[in-house]
Amino acid sequence: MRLTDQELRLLNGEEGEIKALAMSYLVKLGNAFDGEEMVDILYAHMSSGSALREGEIDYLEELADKGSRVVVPTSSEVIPVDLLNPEAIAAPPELVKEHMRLLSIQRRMGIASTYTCVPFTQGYVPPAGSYIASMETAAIIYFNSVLGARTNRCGYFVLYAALTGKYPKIGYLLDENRKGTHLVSVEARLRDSTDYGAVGFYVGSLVGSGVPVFTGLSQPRQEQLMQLGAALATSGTVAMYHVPGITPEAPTVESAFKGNRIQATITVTRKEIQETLARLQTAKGATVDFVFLGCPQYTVEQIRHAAGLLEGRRVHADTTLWIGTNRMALAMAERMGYADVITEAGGVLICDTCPMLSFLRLDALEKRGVTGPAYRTMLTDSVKQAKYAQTTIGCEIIVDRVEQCIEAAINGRWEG
Amino acid sequence: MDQGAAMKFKGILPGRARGRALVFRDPISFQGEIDEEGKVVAKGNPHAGESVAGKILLYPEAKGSSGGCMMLRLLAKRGKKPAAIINTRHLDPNLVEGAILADIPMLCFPQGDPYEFVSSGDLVEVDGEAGLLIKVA
Repeated sequence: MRLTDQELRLLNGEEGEIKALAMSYLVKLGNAFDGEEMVDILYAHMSSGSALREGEIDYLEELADKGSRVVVPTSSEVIPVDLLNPEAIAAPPELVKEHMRLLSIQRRMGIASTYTCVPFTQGYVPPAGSYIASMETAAIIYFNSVLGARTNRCGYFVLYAALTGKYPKIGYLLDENRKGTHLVSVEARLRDSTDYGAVGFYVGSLVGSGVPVFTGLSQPRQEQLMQLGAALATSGTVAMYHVPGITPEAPTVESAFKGNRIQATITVTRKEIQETLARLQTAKGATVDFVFLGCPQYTVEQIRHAAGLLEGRRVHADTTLWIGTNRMALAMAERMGYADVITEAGGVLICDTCPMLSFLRLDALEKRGVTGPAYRTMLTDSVKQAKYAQTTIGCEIIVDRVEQCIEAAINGRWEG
Repeated sequence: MDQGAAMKFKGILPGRARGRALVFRDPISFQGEIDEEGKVVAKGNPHAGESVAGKILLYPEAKGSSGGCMMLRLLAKRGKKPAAIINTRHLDPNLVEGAILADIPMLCFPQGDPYEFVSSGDLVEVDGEAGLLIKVA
Protein backbone atom coordinates (compact mmCIF):
# COMPACT_ATOMS: atom_id res chain seq x y z
CA MET A 1 0.00 0.00 0.00
CA ARG A 2 1.06 3.54 -0.72
CA LEU A 3 0.92 5.50 2.53
CA THR A 4 1.11 9.24 3.00
CA ASP A 5 3.63 10.81 5.38
CA GLN A 6 0.88 11.29 7.93
CA GLU A 7 -0.17 7.63 7.63
CA LEU A 8 3.43 6.50 7.99
CA ARG A 9 3.76 8.61 11.14
CA LEU A 10 0.70 6.86 12.55
CA LEU A 11 2.05 3.45 11.56
CA ASN A 12 5.50 4.15 13.01
CA GLY A 13 4.08 4.99 16.39
CA GLU A 14 4.81 8.72 16.33
CA GLU A 15 1.26 9.31 17.53
CA GLY A 16 1.25 6.56 20.10
CA GLU A 17 1.23 2.78 20.26
CA ILE A 18 -2.55 2.41 19.94
CA LYS A 19 -2.71 4.31 16.67
CA ALA A 20 0.30 2.35 15.41
CA LEU A 21 -1.48 -0.94 16.16
CA ALA A 22 -4.68 0.36 14.58
CA MET A 23 -2.82 1.38 11.43
CA SER A 24 -0.99 -1.96 11.22
CA TYR A 25 -4.35 -3.80 11.25
CA LEU A 26 -5.78 -1.46 8.61
CA VAL A 27 -2.71 -1.95 6.40
CA LYS A 28 -3.02 -5.76 6.71
CA LEU A 29 -6.65 -5.47 5.67
CA GLY A 30 -5.72 -3.23 2.75
CA ASN A 31 -3.06 -5.66 1.59
CA ALA A 32 -5.47 -8.60 1.78
CA PHE A 33 -7.65 -6.81 -0.76
CA ASP A 34 -4.84 -5.38 -2.92
CA GLY A 35 -5.68 -1.91 -1.68
CA GLU A 36 -3.46 0.81 -3.09
CA GLU A 37 -4.09 3.57 -0.60
CA MET A 38 -5.94 4.72 2.51
CA VAL A 39 -8.80 7.21 2.54
CA ASP A 40 -9.85 9.66 5.22
CA ILE A 41 -13.21 8.68 6.64
CA LEU A 42 -15.87 11.18 7.72
CA TYR A 43 -17.81 9.05 10.16
CA ALA A 44 -17.79 5.70 11.94
CA HIS A 45 -20.50 3.41 13.32
CA MET A 46 -18.86 0.93 15.64
CA SER A 47 -19.69 -2.09 17.73
CA SER A 48 -20.33 -1.00 21.31
CA GLY A 49 -18.75 -4.09 22.73
CA SER A 50 -20.93 -6.55 24.58
CA ALA A 51 -20.65 -7.78 28.15
CA LEU A 52 -21.89 -11.10 26.78
CA ARG A 53 -18.58 -11.55 24.94
CA GLU A 54 -15.67 -11.77 27.30
CA GLY A 55 -13.03 -9.09 27.30
CA GLU A 56 -14.66 -6.60 24.94
CA ILE A 57 -15.49 -3.92 27.48
CA ASP A 58 -12.17 -4.43 29.28
CA TYR A 59 -10.35 -3.93 25.99
CA LEU A 60 -12.10 -0.61 25.37
CA GLU A 61 -11.37 0.47 28.94
CA GLU A 62 -7.70 -0.29 28.41
CA LEU A 63 -7.75 1.94 25.32
CA ALA A 64 -9.59 4.70 27.20
CA ASP A 65 -7.12 4.47 30.11
CA LYS A 66 -4.30 5.02 27.63
CA GLY A 67 -6.03 8.20 26.48
CA SER A 68 -7.39 6.89 23.18
CA ARG A 69 -10.14 8.97 21.61
CA VAL A 70 -11.92 8.65 18.30
CA VAL A 71 -10.98 11.28 15.73
CA VAL A 72 -14.18 11.24 13.63
CA PRO A 73 -17.88 11.43 14.65
CA THR A 74 -18.65 7.95 15.95
CA SER A 75 -21.96 6.31 16.86
CA SER A 76 -22.36 2.91 18.47
CA GLU A 77 -24.29 -0.32 18.02
CA VAL A 78 -27.05 -2.08 19.97
CA ILE A 79 -26.13 -3.64 23.35
CA PRO A 80 -27.63 -6.63 25.25
CA VAL A 81 -29.79 -4.60 27.68
CA ASP A 82 -32.06 -1.58 27.81
CA LEU A 83 -30.10 0.83 30.00
CA LEU A 84 -32.91 3.38 30.26
CA ASN A 85 -35.58 1.02 31.54
CA PRO A 86 -33.95 -2.29 32.45
CA GLU A 87 -36.69 -3.30 34.90
CA ALA A 88 -39.37 -3.32 32.19
CA ILE A 89 -37.65 -6.21 30.42
CA ALA A 90 -36.19 -7.79 33.58
CA ALA A 91 -32.63 -7.26 32.36
CA PRO A 92 -30.04 -8.95 34.61
CA PRO A 93 -28.58 -6.29 36.96
CA GLU A 94 -24.99 -7.46 36.49
CA LEU A 95 -25.25 -6.89 32.73
CA VAL A 96 -26.77 -3.45 33.29
CA LYS A 97 -23.88 -2.60 35.60
CA GLU A 98 -21.30 -3.70 33.03
CA HIS A 99 -22.96 -1.62 30.35
CA MET A 100 -23.13 1.44 32.61
CA ARG A 101 -19.38 1.00 32.85
CA LEU A 102 -19.19 0.84 29.04
CA LEU A 103 -21.25 4.04 28.81
CA SER A 104 -18.65 5.99 30.78
CA ILE A 105 -15.81 4.45 28.75
CA GLN A 106 -17.51 5.53 25.52
CA ARG A 107 -17.92 9.03 26.92
CA ARG A 108 -14.21 9.23 27.69
CA MET A 109 -13.35 8.02 24.18
CA GLY A 110 -15.69 10.49 22.45
CA ILE A 111 -18.08 7.79 21.19
CA ALA A 112 -21.82 8.60 21.12
CA SER A 113 -23.78 6.00 23.07
CA THR A 114 -26.52 5.72 20.45
CA TYR A 115 -27.01 1.93 20.81
CA THR A 116 -28.66 1.77 17.45
CA CYS A 117 -28.66 -0.30 14.27
CA VAL A 118 -30.05 2.63 12.25
CA PRO A 119 -27.85 5.65 13.05
CA PHE A 120 -29.02 7.40 9.87
CA THR A 121 -32.40 7.96 11.55
CA GLN A 122 -30.64 9.90 14.31
CA GLY A 123 -28.70 12.58 12.52
CA TYR A 124 -25.79 10.48 11.24
CA VAL A 125 -26.44 11.08 7.56
CA PRO A 126 -23.16 11.06 5.66
CA PRO A 127 -23.41 12.75 2.25
CA ALA A 128 -23.41 10.73 -0.98
CA GLY A 129 -19.90 9.90 -2.11
CA SER A 130 -18.32 10.26 1.34
CA TYR A 131 -16.14 7.50 2.80
CA ILE A 132 -17.26 6.07 6.12
CA ALA A 133 -16.63 2.92 8.17
CA SER A 134 -19.68 1.10 9.48
CA MET A 135 -20.50 -2.23 11.03
CA GLU A 136 -24.09 -3.55 11.31
CA THR A 137 -25.18 -5.02 8.00
CA ALA A 138 -28.58 -3.32 8.11
CA ALA A 139 -26.87 0.07 8.41
CA ILE A 140 -24.08 -0.67 5.93
CA ILE A 141 -26.48 -1.50 3.13
CA TYR A 142 -28.60 1.59 3.81
CA PHE A 143 -25.56 3.89 3.82
CA ASN A 144 -24.36 2.47 0.50
CA SER A 145 -27.64 2.04 -1.31
CA VAL A 146 -29.97 4.78 -0.12
CA LEU A 147 -27.59 7.53 1.03
CA GLY A 148 -24.78 6.76 -1.44
CA ALA A 149 -22.07 7.03 1.21
CA ARG A 150 -19.36 4.39 0.87
CA THR A 151 -18.62 1.73 3.45
CA ASN A 152 -17.53 -1.87 3.51
CA ARG A 153 -19.07 -4.59 5.62
CA CYS A 154 -16.80 -3.60 8.46
CA GLY A 155 -16.67 -5.38 11.77
CA TYR A 156 -14.45 -4.70 14.72
CA PHE A 157 -12.06 -2.65 12.57
CA VAL A 158 -14.42 0.31 12.71
CA LEU A 159 -12.75 0.94 16.07
CA TYR A 160 -9.34 1.21 14.43
CA ALA A 161 -10.77 3.38 11.66
CA ALA A 162 -12.37 5.68 14.25
CA LEU A 163 -9.10 5.96 16.21
CA THR A 164 -7.09 6.91 13.12
CA GLY A 165 -9.68 8.41 10.74
CA LYS A 166 -8.39 6.03 8.06
CA TYR A 167 -9.63 3.02 6.11
CA PRO A 168 -8.10 1.18 3.15
CA LYS A 169 -9.69 2.05 -0.19
CA ILE A 170 -11.05 -1.39 -0.98
CA GLY A 171 -14.33 -3.18 -1.66
CA TYR A 172 -17.40 -0.98 -1.77
CA LEU A 173 -15.29 2.15 -1.51
CA LEU A 174 -14.34 1.55 -5.16
CA ASP A 175 -16.64 2.36 -8.10
CA GLU A 176 -16.06 -1.01 -9.77
CA ASN A 177 -17.53 -2.98 -6.85
CA ARG A 178 -20.67 -0.85 -6.62
CA LYS A 179 -21.96 -1.71 -10.09
CA GLY A 180 -25.10 -3.81 -10.45
CA THR A 181 -24.77 -7.55 -11.03
CA HIS A 182 -28.37 -8.85 -10.99
CA LEU A 183 -31.58 -7.33 -12.33
CA VAL A 184 -34.60 -7.81 -10.09
CA SER A 185 -38.03 -7.20 -11.51
CA VAL A 186 -40.59 -6.85 -8.72
CA GLU A 187 -43.97 -7.62 -10.23
CA ALA A 188 -45.90 -7.88 -6.98
CA ARG A 189 -47.36 -4.71 -5.48
CA LEU A 190 -45.57 -4.42 -2.14
CA ARG A 191 -47.90 -3.44 0.69
CA ASP A 192 -45.73 -2.95 3.72
CA SER A 193 -42.29 -3.33 5.27
CA THR A 194 -42.76 -7.06 5.78
CA ASP A 195 -43.30 -7.53 2.04
CA TYR A 196 -40.08 -5.61 1.42
CA GLY A 197 -38.34 -7.87 3.92
CA ALA A 198 -39.60 -10.97 2.12
CA VAL A 199 -38.38 -9.62 -1.24
CA GLY A 200 -34.99 -8.87 0.29
CA PHE A 201 -34.71 -12.30 1.86
CA TYR A 202 -35.65 -14.06 -1.37
CA VAL A 203 -33.29 -12.00 -3.53
CA GLY A 204 -30.43 -12.14 -0.99
CA SER A 205 -30.54 -15.93 -1.04
CA LEU A 206 -30.09 -15.88 -4.83
CA VAL A 207 -27.47 -13.15 -5.33
CA GLY A 208 -25.05 -13.97 -2.46
CA SER A 209 -22.57 -11.11 -2.50
CA GLY A 210 -23.95 -9.54 -5.67
CA VAL A 211 -25.34 -6.04 -6.18
CA PRO A 212 -29.02 -6.37 -7.13
CA VAL A 213 -30.74 -3.64 -9.14
CA PHE A 214 -34.45 -3.36 -8.36
CA THR A 215 -37.12 -2.29 -10.79
CA GLY A 216 -40.83 -2.15 -10.09
CA LEU A 217 -40.63 -0.56 -6.64
CA SER A 218 -43.05 2.31 -6.41
CA GLN A 219 -41.82 5.10 -4.11
CA PRO A 220 -40.64 2.95 -1.21
CA ARG A 221 -40.60 4.58 2.22
CA GLN A 222 -37.49 4.89 4.34
CA GLU A 223 -38.71 2.11 6.65
CA GLN A 224 -39.40 -0.19 3.69
CA LEU A 225 -35.91 0.34 2.32
CA MET A 226 -34.49 -0.36 5.79
CA GLN A 227 -36.36 -3.66 5.82
CA LEU A 228 -35.34 -4.55 2.24
CA GLY A 229 -31.67 -3.98 3.03
CA ALA A 230 -31.69 -5.74 6.39
CA ALA A 231 -33.20 -8.81 4.73
CA LEU A 232 -30.81 -8.78 1.73
CA ALA A 233 -27.91 -8.75 4.20
CA THR A 234 -29.41 -11.60 6.23
CA SER A 235 -29.91 -14.28 3.59
CA GLY A 236 -26.96 -13.05 1.52
CA THR A 237 -23.83 -10.94 1.97
CA VAL A 238 -25.33 -8.05 0.07
CA ALA A 239 -23.81 -4.69 1.06
CA MET A 240 -25.17 -2.63 -1.81
CA TYR A 241 -28.26 -2.54 -3.97
CA HIS A 242 -29.60 -0.05 -6.47
CA VAL A 243 -33.07 1.34 -6.84
CA PRO A 244 -32.66 3.47 -9.97
CA GLY A 245 -33.93 6.95 -9.23
CA ILE A 246 -33.32 6.57 -5.49
CA THR A 247 -29.73 5.34 -5.19
CA PRO A 248 -27.76 8.59 -5.70
CA GLU A 249 -25.22 7.13 -8.13
CA ALA A 250 -27.85 5.35 -10.27
CA PRO A 251 -30.52 7.58 -11.81
CA THR A 252 -31.27 4.84 -14.38
CA VAL A 253 -30.99 1.05 -14.72
CA GLU A 254 -28.15 1.54 -17.24
CA SER A 255 -26.16 3.70 -14.84
CA ALA A 256 -26.69 1.15 -12.06
CA PHE A 257 -24.94 -1.53 -14.12
CA LYS A 258 -22.37 0.87 -15.63
CA GLY A 259 -21.53 -1.58 -18.39
CA ASN A 260 -21.47 -4.65 -16.13
CA ARG A 261 -22.94 -7.84 -17.60
CA ILE A 262 -26.28 -8.73 -16.04
CA GLN A 263 -25.51 -12.08 -14.39
CA ALA A 264 -29.15 -13.05 -13.98
CA THR A 265 -32.63 -11.59 -14.00
CA ILE A 266 -34.85 -12.39 -11.03
CA THR A 267 -38.61 -11.95 -11.06
CA VAL A 268 -40.48 -11.52 -7.80
CA THR A 269 -44.23 -12.10 -7.73
CA ARG A 270 -46.65 -12.48 -4.82
CA LYS A 271 -45.93 -16.23 -4.93
CA GLU A 272 -42.23 -15.79 -4.05
CA ILE A 273 -43.13 -13.40 -1.22
CA GLN A 274 -45.66 -15.81 0.28
CA GLU A 275 -43.34 -18.77 -0.10
CA THR A 276 -40.47 -16.88 1.55
CA LEU A 277 -42.57 -15.92 4.58
CA ALA A 278 -43.93 -19.45 4.83
CA ARG A 279 -40.42 -20.92 4.67
CA LEU A 280 -39.28 -18.66 7.51
CA GLN A 281 -42.10 -19.94 9.70
CA THR A 282 -41.01 -22.71 12.05
CA ALA A 283 -43.88 -22.56 14.57
CA LYS A 284 -46.50 -25.28 14.28
CA GLY A 285 -49.13 -23.94 16.67
CA ALA A 286 -50.83 -20.55 16.75
CA THR A 287 -50.10 -19.67 20.40
CA VAL A 288 -47.69 -16.74 20.60
CA ASP A 289 -45.92 -15.81 23.84
CA PHE A 290 -43.54 -13.19 22.40
CA VAL A 291 -44.27 -10.51 19.84
CA PHE A 292 -41.31 -8.42 18.73
CA LEU A 293 -41.49 -5.37 16.47
CA GLY A 294 -38.61 -3.10 15.62
CA CYS A 295 -35.85 -4.84 13.69
CA PRO A 296 -34.32 -2.63 12.43
CA GLN A 297 -35.27 -0.27 15.27
CA TYR A 298 -38.61 1.37 14.69
CA THR A 299 -38.70 4.98 13.55
CA VAL A 300 -40.97 7.51 15.26
CA GLU A 301 -43.50 6.98 12.47
CA GLN A 302 -43.57 3.21 13.00
CA ILE A 303 -44.01 3.71 16.76
CA ARG A 304 -46.91 6.07 16.04
CA HIS A 305 -48.52 3.45 13.81
CA ALA A 306 -48.10 0.64 16.37
CA ALA A 307 -49.45 2.88 19.16
CA GLY A 308 -52.51 3.62 17.02
CA LEU A 309 -53.18 -0.11 16.67
CA LEU A 310 -52.82 -0.62 20.43
CA GLU A 311 -54.82 2.37 21.63
CA GLY A 312 -57.44 1.41 24.21
CA ARG A 313 -56.62 -2.30 23.94
CA ARG A 314 -54.77 -4.75 26.17
CA VAL A 315 -51.92 -7.14 25.42
CA HIS A 316 -52.80 -10.74 26.37
CA ALA A 317 -51.71 -11.80 29.87
CA ASP A 318 -49.60 -14.70 28.51
CA THR A 319 -47.95 -12.68 25.76
CA THR A 320 -45.01 -10.26 25.90
CA LEU A 321 -44.91 -7.40 23.40
CA TRP A 322 -41.63 -5.54 22.81
CA ILE A 323 -41.30 -2.67 20.38
CA GLY A 324 -37.65 -1.86 19.77
CA THR A 325 -36.31 1.60 19.08
CA ASN A 326 -33.50 3.98 19.97
CA ARG A 327 -33.05 6.81 22.46
CA MET A 328 -33.83 9.59 20.03
CA ALA A 329 -37.05 8.06 18.69
CA LEU A 330 -38.05 7.13 22.24
CA ALA A 331 -37.67 10.73 23.40
CA MET A 332 -39.96 11.86 20.58
CA ALA A 333 -42.44 9.02 21.23
CA GLU A 334 -42.61 10.08 24.87
CA ARG A 335 -43.26 13.71 24.00
CA MET A 336 -45.93 12.75 21.47
CA GLY A 337 -47.70 10.43 23.94
CA TYR A 338 -47.14 7.27 21.83
CA ALA A 339 -45.02 5.70 24.57
CA ASP A 340 -47.83 6.07 27.12
CA VAL A 341 -50.34 4.43 24.78
CA ILE A 342 -48.04 1.43 24.33
CA THR A 343 -47.31 1.13 28.06
CA GLU A 344 -50.98 1.45 29.02
CA ALA A 345 -51.80 -1.37 26.61
CA GLY A 346 -49.23 -3.56 28.37
CA GLY A 347 -46.56 -3.38 25.69
CA VAL A 348 -42.93 -2.43 26.31
CA LEU A 349 -41.18 0.19 24.21
CA ILE A 350 -37.56 -0.88 24.50
CA CYS A 351 -34.37 0.98 23.75
CA ASP A 352 -30.70 0.11 23.20
CA THR A 353 -31.20 -3.61 22.67
CA CYS A 354 -32.98 -6.26 20.59
CA PRO A 355 -33.78 -9.94 21.29
CA MET A 356 -31.13 -11.56 19.08
CA LEU A 357 -28.32 -9.59 20.77
CA SER A 358 -29.81 -9.46 24.26
CA PHE A 359 -29.64 -11.38 27.51
CA LEU A 360 -32.37 -13.62 26.03
CA ARG A 361 -29.75 -15.35 23.92
CA LEU A 362 -29.43 -19.02 24.79
CA ASP A 363 -25.69 -18.65 25.43
CA ALA A 364 -26.35 -15.73 27.82
CA LEU A 365 -29.10 -17.64 29.65
CA GLU A 366 -26.89 -20.67 29.95
CA LYS A 367 -24.16 -18.64 31.67
CA ARG A 368 -26.73 -17.63 34.27
CA GLY A 369 -27.79 -21.24 34.80
CA VAL A 370 -31.06 -20.98 32.88
CA THR A 371 -31.70 -23.84 30.47
CA GLY A 372 -34.03 -23.63 27.51
CA PRO A 373 -35.37 -20.60 25.70
CA ALA A 374 -37.11 -17.72 27.49
CA TYR A 375 -39.98 -17.78 24.99
CA ARG A 376 -41.48 -20.59 22.96
CA THR A 377 -42.82 -18.74 19.92
CA MET A 378 -41.82 -15.36 18.53
CA LEU A 379 -44.02 -13.47 16.11
CA THR A 380 -42.27 -10.60 14.36
CA ASP A 381 -42.67 -8.33 11.34
CA SER A 382 -38.93 -8.61 10.57
CA VAL A 383 -37.36 -11.38 8.53
CA LYS A 384 -33.92 -10.51 9.91
CA GLN A 385 -34.99 -10.95 13.52
CA ALA A 386 -36.93 -14.08 12.54
CA LYS A 387 -33.90 -15.69 10.97
CA TYR A 388 -31.44 -14.92 13.77
CA ALA A 389 -33.76 -15.33 16.77
CA GLN A 390 -34.42 -18.92 15.75
CA THR A 391 -30.87 -19.95 16.59
CA THR A 392 -29.76 -17.24 19.04
CA ILE A 393 -32.76 -17.17 21.37
CA GLY A 394 -34.03 -20.60 20.38
CA CYS A 395 -37.71 -19.87 19.78
CA GLU A 396 -40.02 -20.93 17.01
CA ILE A 397 -40.86 -18.21 14.54
CA ILE A 398 -43.74 -16.68 12.65
CA VAL A 399 -43.32 -13.62 10.40
CA ASP A 400 -46.29 -11.41 9.61
CA ARG A 401 -47.11 -7.76 9.04
CA VAL A 402 -47.35 -5.35 11.95
CA GLU A 403 -51.18 -5.29 12.06
CA GLN A 404 -51.30 -9.08 12.46
CA CYS A 405 -48.51 -8.97 15.05
CA ILE A 406 -50.44 -6.50 17.22
CA GLU A 407 -53.69 -8.53 16.88
CA ALA A 408 -51.82 -11.64 17.99
CA ALA A 409 -50.29 -9.78 20.94
CA ILE A 410 -53.80 -8.90 22.07
CA ASN A 411 -55.35 -12.33 21.45
CA GLY A 412 -52.33 -14.40 22.49
CA ARG A 413 -52.83 -16.27 19.23
CA TRP A 414 -51.81 -15.69 15.65
CA GLU A 415 -54.66 -15.91 13.18
CA GLY A 416 -52.57 -16.38 10.03
CA MET B 1 6.26 -31.59 5.68
CA ASP B 2 4.80 -34.49 3.69
CA GLN B 3 4.29 -32.93 0.30
CA GLY B 4 1.15 -34.15 -1.42
CA ALA B 5 -0.95 -32.65 -4.16
CA ALA B 6 -1.36 -28.88 -3.91
CA MET B 7 -3.88 -26.39 -5.19
CA LYS B 8 -3.02 -22.76 -5.82
CA PHE B 9 -5.08 -19.92 -4.35
CA LYS B 10 -4.55 -16.25 -3.78
CA GLY B 11 -2.88 -15.86 -0.40
CA ILE B 12 -4.94 -13.39 1.65
CA LEU B 13 -3.43 -13.53 5.13
CA PRO B 14 -0.03 -15.04 5.87
CA GLY B 15 0.59 -17.96 8.20
CA ARG B 16 0.78 -21.73 8.07
CA ALA B 17 -1.70 -24.21 9.45
CA ARG B 18 -2.34 -27.92 9.41
CA GLY B 19 -5.60 -29.67 10.23
CA ARG B 20 -8.58 -31.64 9.02
CA ALA B 21 -10.63 -30.02 6.29
CA LEU B 22 -14.24 -29.09 6.99
CA VAL B 23 -15.97 -28.34 3.70
CA PHE B 24 -19.25 -26.47 3.34
CA ARG B 25 -20.88 -26.15 -0.06
CA ASP B 26 -22.97 -23.15 1.03
CA PRO B 27 -22.08 -19.79 2.61
CA ILE B 28 -21.90 -19.79 6.42
CA SER B 29 -22.20 -17.08 9.06
CA PHE B 30 -20.09 -16.84 12.20
CA GLN B 31 -22.98 -15.15 13.92
CA GLY B 32 -25.87 -17.45 14.58
CA GLU B 33 -24.65 -20.49 12.69
CA ILE B 34 -21.59 -21.24 14.86
CA ASP B 35 -21.78 -20.95 18.63
CA GLU B 36 -19.26 -19.49 21.09
CA GLU B 37 -17.63 -22.88 21.54
CA GLY B 38 -17.07 -23.21 17.82
CA LYS B 39 -19.86 -25.72 17.24
CA VAL B 40 -21.94 -25.57 14.06
CA VAL B 41 -25.51 -24.87 15.20
CA ALA B 42 -27.12 -23.96 11.87
CA LYS B 43 -30.29 -26.00 11.54
CA GLY B 44 -30.21 -28.42 8.64
CA ASN B 45 -26.50 -27.86 7.98
CA PRO B 46 -24.79 -31.13 7.01
CA HIS B 47 -22.07 -30.39 9.59
CA ALA B 48 -24.43 -29.39 12.41
CA GLY B 49 -22.99 -30.47 15.75
CA GLU B 50 -19.38 -30.55 14.50
CA SER B 51 -16.70 -28.16 15.79
CA VAL B 52 -14.73 -25.71 13.64
CA ALA B 53 -11.90 -25.59 16.22
CA GLY B 54 -8.57 -26.45 14.65
CA LYS B 55 -10.18 -27.22 11.29
CA ILE B 56 -9.28 -25.89 7.87
CA LEU B 57 -12.61 -24.41 6.82
CA LEU B 58 -13.46 -24.28 3.16
CA TYR B 59 -16.66 -22.61 1.97
CA PRO B 60 -17.82 -20.29 -0.80
CA GLU B 61 -18.15 -17.04 1.17
CA ALA B 62 -19.25 -15.46 4.42
CA LYS B 63 -22.82 -14.41 4.87
CA GLY B 64 -24.98 -12.75 7.46
CA SER B 65 -24.53 -10.24 10.23
CA SER B 66 -21.30 -8.30 10.71
CA GLY B 67 -20.97 -9.70 14.23
CA GLY B 68 -19.02 -12.53 12.62
CA CYS B 69 -15.75 -10.65 13.07
CA MET B 70 -16.16 -10.48 16.85
CA MET B 71 -17.07 -14.13 16.92
CA LEU B 72 -13.74 -15.15 15.36
CA ARG B 73 -11.91 -12.99 17.88
CA LEU B 74 -13.77 -14.67 20.72
CA LEU B 75 -13.14 -18.16 19.32
CA ALA B 76 -9.42 -17.32 19.19
CA LYS B 77 -9.44 -16.16 22.82
CA ARG B 78 -11.10 -19.42 23.81
CA GLY B 79 -8.74 -21.59 21.78
CA LYS B 80 -11.61 -22.68 19.54
CA LYS B 81 -10.66 -20.89 16.35
CA PRO B 82 -10.40 -22.60 12.99
CA ALA B 83 -6.80 -23.27 11.92
CA ALA B 84 -7.33 -21.58 8.55
CA ILE B 85 -10.17 -20.24 6.43
CA ILE B 86 -10.50 -20.73 2.69
CA ASN B 87 -13.22 -18.93 0.77
CA THR B 88 -13.75 -19.93 -2.81
CA ARG B 89 -16.06 -17.34 -4.32
CA HIS B 90 -15.90 -14.03 -2.52
CA LEU B 91 -13.80 -12.38 0.17
CA ASP B 92 -15.76 -10.56 2.86
CA PRO B 93 -13.84 -7.73 4.60
CA ASN B 94 -15.70 -8.41 7.83
CA LEU B 95 -14.45 -11.96 7.90
CA VAL B 96 -10.91 -10.89 6.99
CA GLU B 97 -10.95 -8.44 9.92
CA GLY B 98 -11.87 -11.28 12.23
CA ALA B 99 -9.13 -13.45 10.77
CA ILE B 100 -6.51 -10.69 11.26
CA LEU B 101 -7.52 -10.25 14.91
CA ALA B 102 -7.64 -14.01 15.44
CA ASP B 103 -4.36 -14.51 13.53
CA ILE B 104 -5.83 -17.07 11.12
CA PRO B 105 -4.22 -17.65 7.69
CA MET B 106 -6.61 -17.17 4.78
CA LEU B 107 -6.83 -18.15 1.15
CA CYS B 108 -9.33 -17.25 -1.55
CA PHE B 109 -9.92 -17.51 -5.29
CA PRO B 110 -8.77 -21.06 -6.19
CA GLN B 111 -7.21 -22.03 -9.50
CA GLY B 112 -9.40 -25.09 -10.07
CA ASP B 113 -12.30 -26.73 -8.26
CA PRO B 114 -11.38 -27.08 -4.58
CA TYR B 115 -14.55 -29.09 -3.89
CA GLU B 116 -13.15 -31.79 -6.17
CA PHE B 117 -9.72 -31.46 -4.61
CA VAL B 118 -10.53 -31.75 -0.93
CA SER B 119 -13.20 -33.41 1.21
CA SER B 120 -14.16 -33.02 4.84
CA GLY B 121 -11.83 -35.04 7.05
CA ASP B 122 -8.80 -34.83 4.73
CA LEU B 123 -5.58 -33.80 6.49
CA VAL B 124 -4.41 -30.63 4.74
CA GLU B 125 -1.96 -27.79 5.11
CA VAL B 126 -2.41 -24.13 4.28
CA ASP B 127 0.37 -21.75 3.36
CA GLY B 128 -1.08 -18.26 3.45
CA GLU B 129 2.02 -16.62 2.06
CA ALA B 130 2.40 -18.87 -0.98
CA GLY B 131 -1.35 -19.26 -1.43
CA LEU B 132 -1.25 -23.05 -1.27
CA LEU B 133 -3.61 -25.73 -0.02
CA ILE B 134 -1.63 -28.94 0.29
CA LYS B 135 -2.95 -32.45 0.86
CA VAL B 136 -0.85 -34.23 3.42
CA ALA B 137 -0.15 -37.75 2.21
